[in-house]
Amino acid sequence: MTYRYQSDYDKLSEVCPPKQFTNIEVNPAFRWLFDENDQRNFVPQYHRNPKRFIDANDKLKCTSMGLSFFKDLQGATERYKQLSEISPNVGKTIGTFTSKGFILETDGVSGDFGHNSHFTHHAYETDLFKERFEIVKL
Amino acid sequence: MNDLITKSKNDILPFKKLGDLIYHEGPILSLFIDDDANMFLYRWVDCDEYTNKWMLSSISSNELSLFYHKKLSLRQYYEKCTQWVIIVIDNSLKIKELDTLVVLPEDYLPTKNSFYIDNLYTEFSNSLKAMYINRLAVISDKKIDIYDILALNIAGKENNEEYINDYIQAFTHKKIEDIASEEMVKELTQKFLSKSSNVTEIVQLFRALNHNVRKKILELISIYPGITITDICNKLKIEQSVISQHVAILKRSNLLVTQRKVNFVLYTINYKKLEEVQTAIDTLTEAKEVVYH
Repeated sequence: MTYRYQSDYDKLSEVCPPKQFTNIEVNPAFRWLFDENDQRNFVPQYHRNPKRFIDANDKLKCTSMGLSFFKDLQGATERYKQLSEISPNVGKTIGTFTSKGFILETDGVSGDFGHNSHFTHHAYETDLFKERFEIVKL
Repeated sequence: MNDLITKSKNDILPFKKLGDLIYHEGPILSLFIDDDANMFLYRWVDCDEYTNKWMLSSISSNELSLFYHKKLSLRQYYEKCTQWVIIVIDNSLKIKELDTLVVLPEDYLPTKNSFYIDNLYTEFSNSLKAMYINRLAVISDKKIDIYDILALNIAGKENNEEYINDYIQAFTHKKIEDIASEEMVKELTQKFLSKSSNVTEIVQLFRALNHNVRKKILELISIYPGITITDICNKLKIEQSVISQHVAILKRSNLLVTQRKVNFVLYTINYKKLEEVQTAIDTLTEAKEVVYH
């Protein structure tokens, strides 16, 4: 399978996605979105504004080419609250609504679940996230 | 603030990035450094379709230390901060304008709950937190010179229970019987001994650390891993013979790791050793608090 941003991964000196990322199903999964049908919803930060990462190393660039998801709603809500306490406007860059959907093994590869059940996902070009995720919390 | 504006006008990003402290799909809070080893926080505060706004502010080692010890929130830090500027950067990464607002909008400031929390910050931040300098700075603020007390009271008295009792007395500046029961003293002693398996070695480490020049050398190496002695001399403006002596003491205490590259010896910090120091300090501080209460 080809990744959606394969051509960008190929430019990195790091293996991207990292080797330990695996195809797993996550159901339910949660992600912050801007609004229904907003074009930025499933575009990684790196591809929204690549020059913002000009001083980042290739490992960070790879991370920024992935999408952030959460395994549980509580984790997503908690992380959002934590980030908002540091920068109250953070919703303007990472999204303001919590959405719920699911990730199939065939959608791409995911990293380990971290704090607040956060994980990074690198999608194949065939992912159908736009159809699968809907806003559940304002 | 004027210094920051002048520096920021000269370049796109005038400082070297040490690392990101908070990262979520991109940097949210980062730490920068200038050529004089002054540190700066660089925090994302706002954006529109074409620009991102960042707040650049100077931060001292002591403020970082207090932050990591949850004694200072980011909000409190910004409220006291006088050296800051808002940098507006467009998609080409050029500084579009420098905003020197007299009063910051409320949504540019962290909330009052913005104390340090482990699970939000990056691995880089964790290693920064582990740096001895944070702990030393806080202890120094409290005017607790535990190193001298330890060196005087425990050196050469390896794992001696009676001597540990003396140490607690010296440390608290009170008579043990006035402030703690015999049982409590025994408990503290056991606690200290169980956590500090080799008291003599710990004391040697404290001695090595207990010198202002050596603290500065360690701080510099932590900021510039792989630095040479010549660079340390230049940055601290101290003669090479003096620096060499202090570096030798740090090396003997295994606080530094060296690597030879062509004709240079490169120095980095042995963080594992520093963690041992931290554990010992934690035990001592804990013991002091228990005795006082």
